[in-house]
Amino acid sequence: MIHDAAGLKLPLALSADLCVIGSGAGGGMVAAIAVQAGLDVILLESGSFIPPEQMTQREERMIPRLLWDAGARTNRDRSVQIHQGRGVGGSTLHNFNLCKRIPTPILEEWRRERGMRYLGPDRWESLYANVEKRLRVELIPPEWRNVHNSLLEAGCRELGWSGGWLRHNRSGCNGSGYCELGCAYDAKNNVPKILLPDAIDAGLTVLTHCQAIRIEHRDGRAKGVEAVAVHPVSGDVLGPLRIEAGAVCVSASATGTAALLWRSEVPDRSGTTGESLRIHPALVVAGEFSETVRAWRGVPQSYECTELLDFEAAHRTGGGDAPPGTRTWIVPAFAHPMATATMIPGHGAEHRRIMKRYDNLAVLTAMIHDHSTGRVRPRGDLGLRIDYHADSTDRKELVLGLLACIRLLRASGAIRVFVPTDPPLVLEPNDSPPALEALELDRSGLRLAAVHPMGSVPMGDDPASAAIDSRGKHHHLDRLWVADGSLFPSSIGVPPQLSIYALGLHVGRAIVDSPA
Amino acid sequence: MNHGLPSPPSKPSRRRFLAALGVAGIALGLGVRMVGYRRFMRWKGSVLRGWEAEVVAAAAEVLLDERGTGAAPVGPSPEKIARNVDRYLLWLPPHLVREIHGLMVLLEQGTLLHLRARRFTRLSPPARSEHLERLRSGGRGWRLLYLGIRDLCMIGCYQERGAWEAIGYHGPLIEPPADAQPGTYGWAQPPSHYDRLVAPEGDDPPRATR
Repeated sequence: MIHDAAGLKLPLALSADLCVIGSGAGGGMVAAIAVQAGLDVILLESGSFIPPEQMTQREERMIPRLLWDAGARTNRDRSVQIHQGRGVGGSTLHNFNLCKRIPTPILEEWRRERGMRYLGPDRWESLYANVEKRLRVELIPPEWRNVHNSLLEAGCRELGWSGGWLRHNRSGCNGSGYCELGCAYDAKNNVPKILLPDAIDAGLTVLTHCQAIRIEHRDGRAKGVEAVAVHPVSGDVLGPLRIEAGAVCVSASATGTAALLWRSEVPDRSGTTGESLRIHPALVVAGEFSETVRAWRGVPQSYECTELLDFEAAHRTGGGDAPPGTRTWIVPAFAHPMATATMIPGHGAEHRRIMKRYDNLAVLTAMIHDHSTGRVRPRGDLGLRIDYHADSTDRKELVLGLLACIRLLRASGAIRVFVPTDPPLVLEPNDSPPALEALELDRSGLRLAAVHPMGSVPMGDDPASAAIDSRGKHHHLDRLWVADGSLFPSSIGVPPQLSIYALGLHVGRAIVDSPA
Repeated sequence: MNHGLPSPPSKPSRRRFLAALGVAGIALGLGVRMVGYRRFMRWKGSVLRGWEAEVVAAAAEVLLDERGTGAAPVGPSPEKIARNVDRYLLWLPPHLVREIHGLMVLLEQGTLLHLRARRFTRLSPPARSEHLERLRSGGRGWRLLYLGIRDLCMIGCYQERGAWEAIGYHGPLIEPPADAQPGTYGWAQPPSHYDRLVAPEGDDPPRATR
């Protein structure tokens, strides 16, 4: 059952065969696999259980509940807004349901460089097949494709650029367009819908508003978890809980997992924990159309432009030497008014001018398969600190992506293009595209956003260069496992949810198969 | 030679006197700059103090005004925007709340650094607008200050239905009941199949001990 730790009499001590920290795609899957194999499992989640009837389609109510730090999480120098989900289901509650597999050149590179004895390309293939079936992953049918995504398709067609329709894990969708605020219609085939009911029927215990502080370990073995109940709104600590467990699996996201391992002083002779965060940084550009776009309606992100995405070229000699224009993924991106207003630069008349065209705007985002690495560290008992700064080649790739978005918007019929520099750059039909220097990130006022943190505890089979092996098992602390996007040895260039579910399945099976 | 006698109390020098006078003047000036907030006399905020709510409202008046006069901000009133911002801040972790309080102090009193005698909330709308523009085009720290207050005002404004019509946004498809209280998570809905997954409030999990 789901128990609200904030409503329990504390302190409290619990015991289980396995304690899973974090209920997103990775942790949710691990817990489901383990409990169905007969293990006694406790799943900790710092956020709330938010069933569909609590999804109110109001930004001011949902964003603080669905995102860490009420959507205000950033890196240390505030140059990137980093959105990470919370609540039972983690980011599967608010994501757009895109399902893409990790491209083969990346999997091959991981095998070459990291061993990956237990998780080679063939294993990924079978994991994906299993997960796609569970999540009912399907191509978005033509009747669900909205104007916004059709404009990107038109732009690609006009330029002769490559692109295609995408697969999602949604069933019973009515095209309301409120996906990023949680689905009120229960159409997302996510952790709460697909995994939780059966897992709870099998005996899973979920503790909400319960945040892990430290992994307890002695004599080279994980022994349990020290946690606290937190207030659902303020996050204030309400009291302690202790979970004694035969094994611990950390699935607290690429930021939360690394911070927790550090705070717990988990030994890591490879020195890699928290040292290689990737985030898929992204920029946006808006185009104004004479006809109504109403981009907030319908299924979001159902079409992609892959003209600047060439994983073969990018990984021929390793990600660091990739040719320019091979690491950028372009998709439509749109938000409801509150978030849109914060993304549009400036204020007063210049801001209002763009907001007034909200109904006629299409927005494209250029997200890059980054190779810059950031660092994650704990901040006190409950918080964390992110250092990330895109290097010069990643910054150049971002700007190339931005210029490509401008071309696509114009090719699809935009009468005006708004580049969110500060002040906003307004391109009329006959204006030349801006020079690269004008878009230099530090000087232009362009604000980066990221929704895919990953790679902070990269797996690998050599204990000298990795903290976690390719089963998800910690090299240096027995009975400790990790199952989330932290494990990716590099950024993956595609949305990670499908691959994190697959990792959860892989690690969950390994936990079940490992001797007690 | 003082022959072991205690030295007489030294006379305050002219320099010391002037320094003390200066310090007292600055203290008085700062004190004056920190009193006299009357706009939200009955303010009962959760995070923001009354004077901070005034700062938000004063900033909203110019940041959301199309004409730059401070006379007619779009959508909800500046007071409503301040209340919405206060409600949003409830969700922020302590380190960000501390930053927000710091932001309010810097915005309100930072006019001194631009050689303005009046605090931010006492400036005329055009002067407030000019001050914000200086922050926007200033160094990185000032620019973050500008972005912080700007984003808060946008959040406070564009969550309101009154700001939606003019931008062609139709609003959510689900309507709250008329008696829905601000801050409540959801509202009464038919029982869902998820209800069976939730333990009664206060029920201990299996094998719990104290």
